[in-house]
Amino acid sequence: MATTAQGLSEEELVRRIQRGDEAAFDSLMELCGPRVYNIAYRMVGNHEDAEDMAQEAFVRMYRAIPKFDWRASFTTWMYRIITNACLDELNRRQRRPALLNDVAANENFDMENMPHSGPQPEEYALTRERQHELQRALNTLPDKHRMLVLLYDIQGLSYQQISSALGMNLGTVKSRLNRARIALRESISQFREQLVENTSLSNQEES
Amino acid sequence: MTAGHIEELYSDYLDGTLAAAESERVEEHLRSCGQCAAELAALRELTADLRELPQLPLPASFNVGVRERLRLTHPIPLFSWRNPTFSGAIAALLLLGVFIALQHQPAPHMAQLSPVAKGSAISPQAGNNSGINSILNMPDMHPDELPPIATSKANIMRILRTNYHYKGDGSVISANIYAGLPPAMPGTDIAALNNEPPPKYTVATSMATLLSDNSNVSLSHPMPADSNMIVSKGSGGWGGGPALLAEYDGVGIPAPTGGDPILGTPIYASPAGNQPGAYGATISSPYSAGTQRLTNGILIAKIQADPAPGNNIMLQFKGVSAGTFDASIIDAAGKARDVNAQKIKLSGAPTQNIILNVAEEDEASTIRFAINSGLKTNNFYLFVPGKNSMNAASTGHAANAKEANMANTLAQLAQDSGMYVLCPADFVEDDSKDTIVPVADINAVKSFATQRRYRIDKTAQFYNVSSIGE
Repeated sequence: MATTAQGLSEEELVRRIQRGDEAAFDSLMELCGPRVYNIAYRMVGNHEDAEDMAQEAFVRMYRAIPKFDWRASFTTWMYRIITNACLDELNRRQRRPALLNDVAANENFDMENMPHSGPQPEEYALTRERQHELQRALNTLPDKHRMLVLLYDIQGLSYQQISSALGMNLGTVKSRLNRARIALRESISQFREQLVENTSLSNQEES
Repeated sequence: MTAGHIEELYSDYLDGTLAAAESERVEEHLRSCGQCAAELAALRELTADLRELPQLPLPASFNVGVRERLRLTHPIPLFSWRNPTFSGAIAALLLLGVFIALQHQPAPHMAQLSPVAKGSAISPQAGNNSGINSILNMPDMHPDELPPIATSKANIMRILRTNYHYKGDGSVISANIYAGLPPAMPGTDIAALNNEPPPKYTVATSMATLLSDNSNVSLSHPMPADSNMIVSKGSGGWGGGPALLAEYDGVGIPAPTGGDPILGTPIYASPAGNQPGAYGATISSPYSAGTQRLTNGILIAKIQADPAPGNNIMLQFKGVSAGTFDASIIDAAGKARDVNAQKIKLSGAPTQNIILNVAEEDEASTIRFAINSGLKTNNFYLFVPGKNSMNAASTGHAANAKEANMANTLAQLAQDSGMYVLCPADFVEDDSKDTIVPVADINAVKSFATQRRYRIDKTAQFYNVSSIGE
């Protein structure tokens, strides 16, 4: 369980917020912000919209925390709010997340942007190309399917947690996740086939 | 297992959630099926790589940005006539908006209610404007001050309509209160309730079925006869969208067969049969599909307990001219905010769809739509809670007999209906021979509202009672 520098857990922070401790909300943003932001980023594929969505999620949390009744775990509840904020925002804008070109234009996967707390750059197994490819494939998924992959494969939530967060039954979570992964895999194959085609085309032109 | 492919088991196998025996069968299949084996290998690589995606740090300005948003989006007080958001249509519509807490009202004792006298005339009263002025000078109540709206399942809403008839000189000469809809409780004798026969509204079997499941009928509206607005509903939601207008308790509610002649077939928005926590929303609307008309009024919808991601409410308007209306969400704590940051605009097209965004934190909130479809007159709305309203209405207000009578009448109606009572009153000329109920002294209404801390819109116009009888 992640805690703040003062050793405070999410739950403790939420209790403090509920008691009217405004500063605790800042601590909560510090503690949970990266998770929220990364989900938003993977949902939209660019930093500007991700920040927008993640901030909206915290606005919603701020409003909803006074009503949070501890029947669900805070983490699950938080994921639900994040999810809804992202999906609502995507719905509202009625547009697909940034596609390849936007991702490339907004590319910020530079090594200097890597979090200090995370693994060191040389430990990254993934090349930038592979990261692009994954993000681009993610962007082709329907919003809700993309969210499932984010929560399970990237955020590491359990089926049960996702079920609670998304309000889906367990079977639906599993079957949709399965479909989403297969679709992701197919997208990647298509990208690669296109790449091969484009390369051979350009080779033909050159010859 | 060796025949065909095992596509549907890929994730379970990868995630190790298969039982040992099943897992072995998958492996057996993989040994003989190169396609599945290759697919699984690709998926394994994919999921491994997804886990390796770098975590991005929070932008430096993040917290400041959230604080700024909170500052800018402070909830807007509802019904505040000082707030420009609520000028225009809603201002023309609302004279009184009242919310009383149900569960949180102290109930010192059950006061004796005087029986609602019916068929008697209104006492004459010389009018003056002091009452209205004092009401209009009431300080605005911040939504924080509003008591919470009861969200109990028992509080199925119904609406009672009050008509005040007045002469050309502005004097109210008669009034009637009648139950509008819906037939909320099986066996309710609405005609006896208000002494006016509204034969259209009877309890139907399907509704009874619905209610016996403790579902929450949550959409109500006044349904005047002279209307020009249609709210229609289609498959999958109110108006066809994935609407969530009902509190949903996770219990599957069987669809009434055949539909209700008055209420139409309740809509089941759940694509998977009202699964707990899924899109399960039972939507019951008093409207028959596409046929019921609504003129001025307020629609009240309660959002289900746990809205699923991405849910919206779609309203479809047909035959409505261009205009605007307001929609607000009042959360369980009584706080109000706009649903869509601005007035909802109707273009005047023959069919107009309006999407209202509903957020997760709006669970158990109430949505109010104030709809102005070309009102000629003023209206007011009283919300009075059922059940405890007897206490609320009749305790401590006996000094003013008329007020008490008003309160009692409303309370009686609330009590009889077991729910909220919404009384929109049209100040319209009406030659109908409606039964007179002696509660129409508008000053009593005002006093009642004042004492209950109801707010009155700035544009309210009250008519003084200066004469009586035809």
